[in-house]
Amino acid sequence: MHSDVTQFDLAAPPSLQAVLKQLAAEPGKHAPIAGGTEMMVALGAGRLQQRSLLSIQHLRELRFIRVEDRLLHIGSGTTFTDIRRSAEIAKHLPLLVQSASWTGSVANQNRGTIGGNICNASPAADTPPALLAYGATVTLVSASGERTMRYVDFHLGYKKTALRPDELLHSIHVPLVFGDHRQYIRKVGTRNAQAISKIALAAVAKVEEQRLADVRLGAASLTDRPVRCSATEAVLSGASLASDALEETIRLARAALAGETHAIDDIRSTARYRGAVAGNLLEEFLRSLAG
Amino acid sequence: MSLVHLTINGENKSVEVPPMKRLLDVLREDLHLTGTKEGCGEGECGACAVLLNGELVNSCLIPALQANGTSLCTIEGVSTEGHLHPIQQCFLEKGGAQCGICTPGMILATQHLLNKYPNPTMEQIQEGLAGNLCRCTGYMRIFESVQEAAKLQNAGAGA
Amino acid sequence: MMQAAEKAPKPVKQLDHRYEGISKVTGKIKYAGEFSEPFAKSDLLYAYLVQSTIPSGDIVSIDRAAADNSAGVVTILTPFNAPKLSQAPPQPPARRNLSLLQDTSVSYNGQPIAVVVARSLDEAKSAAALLKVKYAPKPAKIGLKNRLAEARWPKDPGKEPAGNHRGDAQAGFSKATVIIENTYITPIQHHNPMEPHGTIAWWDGPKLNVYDSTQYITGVRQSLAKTLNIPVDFVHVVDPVVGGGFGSKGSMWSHVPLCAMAARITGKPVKLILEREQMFGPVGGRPSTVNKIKLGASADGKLLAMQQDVVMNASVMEDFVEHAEGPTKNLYMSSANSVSAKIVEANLGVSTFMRAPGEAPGTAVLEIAMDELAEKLNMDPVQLRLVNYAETDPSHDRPWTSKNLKDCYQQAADRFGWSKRNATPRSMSDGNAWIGYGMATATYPANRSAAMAIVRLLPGGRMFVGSGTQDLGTGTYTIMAQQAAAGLGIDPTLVEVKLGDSTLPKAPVSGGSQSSASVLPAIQDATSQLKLKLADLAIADAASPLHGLKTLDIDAKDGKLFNRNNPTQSDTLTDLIARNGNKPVEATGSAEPAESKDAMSSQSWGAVFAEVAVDKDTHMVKVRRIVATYDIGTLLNQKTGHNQLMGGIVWGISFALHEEAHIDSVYGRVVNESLAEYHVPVNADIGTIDVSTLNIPDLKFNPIGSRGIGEIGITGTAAAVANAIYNATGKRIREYPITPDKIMLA
Repeated sequence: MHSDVTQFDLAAPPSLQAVLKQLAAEPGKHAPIAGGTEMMVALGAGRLQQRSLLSIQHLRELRFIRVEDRLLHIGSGTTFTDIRRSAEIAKHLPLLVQSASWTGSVANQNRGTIGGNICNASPAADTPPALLAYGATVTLVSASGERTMRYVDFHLGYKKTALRPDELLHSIHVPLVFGDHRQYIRKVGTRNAQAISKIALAAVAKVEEQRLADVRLGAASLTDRPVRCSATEAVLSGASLASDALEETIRLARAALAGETHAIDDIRSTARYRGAVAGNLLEEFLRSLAG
Repeated sequence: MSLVHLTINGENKSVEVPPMKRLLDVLREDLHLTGTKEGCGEGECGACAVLLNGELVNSCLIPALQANGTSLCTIEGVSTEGHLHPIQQCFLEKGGAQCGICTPGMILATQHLLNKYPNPTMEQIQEGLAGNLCRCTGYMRIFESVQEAAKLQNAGAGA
Repeated sequence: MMQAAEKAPKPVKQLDHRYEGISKVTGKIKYAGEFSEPFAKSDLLYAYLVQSTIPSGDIVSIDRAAADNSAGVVTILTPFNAPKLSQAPPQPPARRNLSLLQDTSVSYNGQPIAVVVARSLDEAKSAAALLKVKYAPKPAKIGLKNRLAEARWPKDPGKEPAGNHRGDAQAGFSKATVIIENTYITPIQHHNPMEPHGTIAWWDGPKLNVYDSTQYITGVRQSLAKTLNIPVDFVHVVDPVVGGGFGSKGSMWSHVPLCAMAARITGKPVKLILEREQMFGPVGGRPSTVNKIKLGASADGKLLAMQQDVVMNASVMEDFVEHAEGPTKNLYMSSANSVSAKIVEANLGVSTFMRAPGEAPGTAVLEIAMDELAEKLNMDPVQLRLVNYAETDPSHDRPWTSKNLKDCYQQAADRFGWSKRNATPRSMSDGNAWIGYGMATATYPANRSAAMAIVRLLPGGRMFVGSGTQDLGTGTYTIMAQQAAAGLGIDPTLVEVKLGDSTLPKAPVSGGSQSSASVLPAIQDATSQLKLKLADLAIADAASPLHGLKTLDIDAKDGKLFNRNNPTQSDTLTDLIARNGNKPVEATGSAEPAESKDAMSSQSWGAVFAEVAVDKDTHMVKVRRIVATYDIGTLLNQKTGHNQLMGGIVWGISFALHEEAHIDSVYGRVVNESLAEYHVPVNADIGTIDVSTLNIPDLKFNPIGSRGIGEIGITGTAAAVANAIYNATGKRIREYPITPDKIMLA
């Protein structure tokens, strides 16, 4: 069923403070809309709950990329195109650039924002695996103040986040500590472009004397939310990549990954395929580190 | 209702529309610019693509109010004074247009692509047009049209 | 080959580019739903189709109080107030079983059950959401694979019988040294032309006018007249350009008469455009087929028996048979064949023709089985096909009008580099991908029907040609201009073309690859008549240099009439028409298949070769190359023709890898009714496509020597890709689409 646009209101308050004030005054009444690439689809499909929308697309305060205090700060209103064009992000966070490049088409990358991608909270979203692997933190703002939390704690369940109705995602922060890490990301889509992911895996790790250290894994479409694979990380921590130990490391890692993920069957793929390919991608990453 | 000011193909226009009305419908219904097509209504097919402040966007995903104060280029604004734009000329000559519904979006996506990459590689062409579905041509002729347009534009720029 | 060429007419001068191309690249051309005249645009009302949300049952009530009071609503049509019509039984392609609010029964999820008409589309949608429909559900028939035991013979199988035997298949199998026997499955698919179906209807007193996105203006005209019980002459259908159809616009569907009904009731012009999601059910789709195929061959590869038993889903509303068994009857020379096609009823929308009905799924399944047979025989797949080459039509035991398929195999294999193939799976790889080569045969019948055309010589030596045919992006305008120009020997750029208007002389449905093969001979006839008239005009004209000659001595070339016996004696068409007071001279023509058509079979052919790369970790498939050579008679226009063939090939790739409508097992609704989830290929899915044609005229088929090309491209391609995937991976997937999941789990 479809929505009648005449029944919806949209305002474009002049500042972030004005938006937050309105959200605080009537919590839950208004929905923020940035690039619209998800919200307008929801509108068309009749899935949009709120009748009042507040545009945040024009707020320059939310659209920035800067390095400060050994952290890379990305405003939630930063578009995928902004990310792909940023020299800073290319230098420090190549996995994020990669995931931005396969988020929809160029036209949608020109509008869609990283904040929208995160807050929409799809388990198949493209940028979360990279942000999870990078150990990002997020800052949420409201009229009453701001709070910063680990991004891994932001996703609470299927399409559920820690965001309160009076809050907006303000920015994402990634520590710039990956200069010595090996980095890996791969998405398996339903077709060769413009695809929703069947499974995606982002990984970073250090290799010291053929042993793994600081392994971080982020995945999409393996559970009800974007997920950090902590059990697998634990198994891999300190594991050996030496030729006589590599196969065992891979075996244990695959088992751990299978144990902590719960892929589902849907029209895009099957749980068995997702589970098997997730293991294959992890194995590809580990072999690339050993090789 | 919201009053929305637009510069469309160089002309200033004002329309009074519901603020959440899709830019696509503003173009097609209020401004009678039917060259912008609707194929899917959810940003998947690119038939409704236009240039908004020079950036390629899907007009079916833009609320009218978010277009307020912007400058738009639709397919109707691509050719000037009755002369085909080189991209249009190449789509015509190379067989890049078949049923014609994807063509306006393809041409605007090409314009956006060539602004970024005057000499695009095949990969850049494929990525630049990845959001534009075509059910007729089989895509080969579209790639050839884009390559030829790049050549033509570069020759024009050098002359 | 030379013989045919000698008999061929002079080559027709081709237009350099698509006739309507400029209006397409500038976005100026208007599609059916975009017209805002001749009615007053401020009068235009918008209709929105309301669909059922259960697959089977009855509508008990529709509470419309809130909707009636909703802003902008003009009227709401439901089964409880819609005018009663006298529906005639289905007569495909034009007339189908329609849902026109004549009773309260619901036969599928998504069936039209109401129409809301309002001053704007938004208001219509808004009111539609307020309708409260109460149903009394009945058990629904859903699924095919789990219900094969319910298969029954179709009531009306169409032009081919549903069951057919030739020779003694059982005897053949008992003699065979090698037997292949497997089940092959193709899914439900939906056409999804880029332009959604749409109609604008308005009444002028008792007369009905419609702009309608259709492949068959004459069919819509007749069906509307029949459905609304008005004289055919009172219906005018216009559709100058169609944004793709692929079969779904070959029939008139429910929204067209519903739009006309809304226009009659409101007394205003009404526009009804389907949304993309409404194109998964109410406008037809290709049925799923389950094919049991058995092939028996001697050790040298000779087919001794072929058997194919097809079971497909059909709507409870109307039988439709997808003749997937067709290629088993006529593609190879086997000593015996046995085929059957049965249906299992389901609570789904009506199935219909979709690009290469029959042959698309038919070649997709048979040509995998042939690949399996070749492997078991340890024989090259091309060689197996040559061993069983059908020099005559085995299904009718009669000659072909023309068949040069051997040349297709040879030419395409050479261009592809087939000799480099290693038959052992997993023997070729590139980086992290297995590489595979595969091939298959393409085929589609050559059809033609009766058609008429009108031509005029205009002042200035220009021409007009008109026919009530359609252009779906196929190039009809272009080849009509060429054919008309060729008739008088003028430049094709001097020809004005009109089509897509039911006031023009009748032409058949643009389906079954028959438009060019039917309409061009009619134009040829019309221009012959015109030439005679012009000759007579010149002969009678004392001021003409040709005055007094005999009609038969006069021919036309380069914009002139001339004396065949003395070519320097000539009269330009411009002068001739000027002396006629610049009054246009008109002639009509018609053409139909010769009575002798039943003495021969006409069919198009091709050979398709595919190279795929299959990722070793993810089993994602990339089709790197397709090389295909076709025998389609004369290629009428290089650009539009190759576009058609390449587009068909991409449909074949899509058939192999992507397209499938998923039906909810409880609610019977298509789950993936959007382009986001019903995948068609994006350009990144396509590698390179090399298309060539033999260009050998088939003059026994029609005087133009040309067979249609709209459909053959999809045939063979799916199996070529499937066979290449087997060669790459060693995994034989017998159920389309071949997804990475299936490859991994096989």
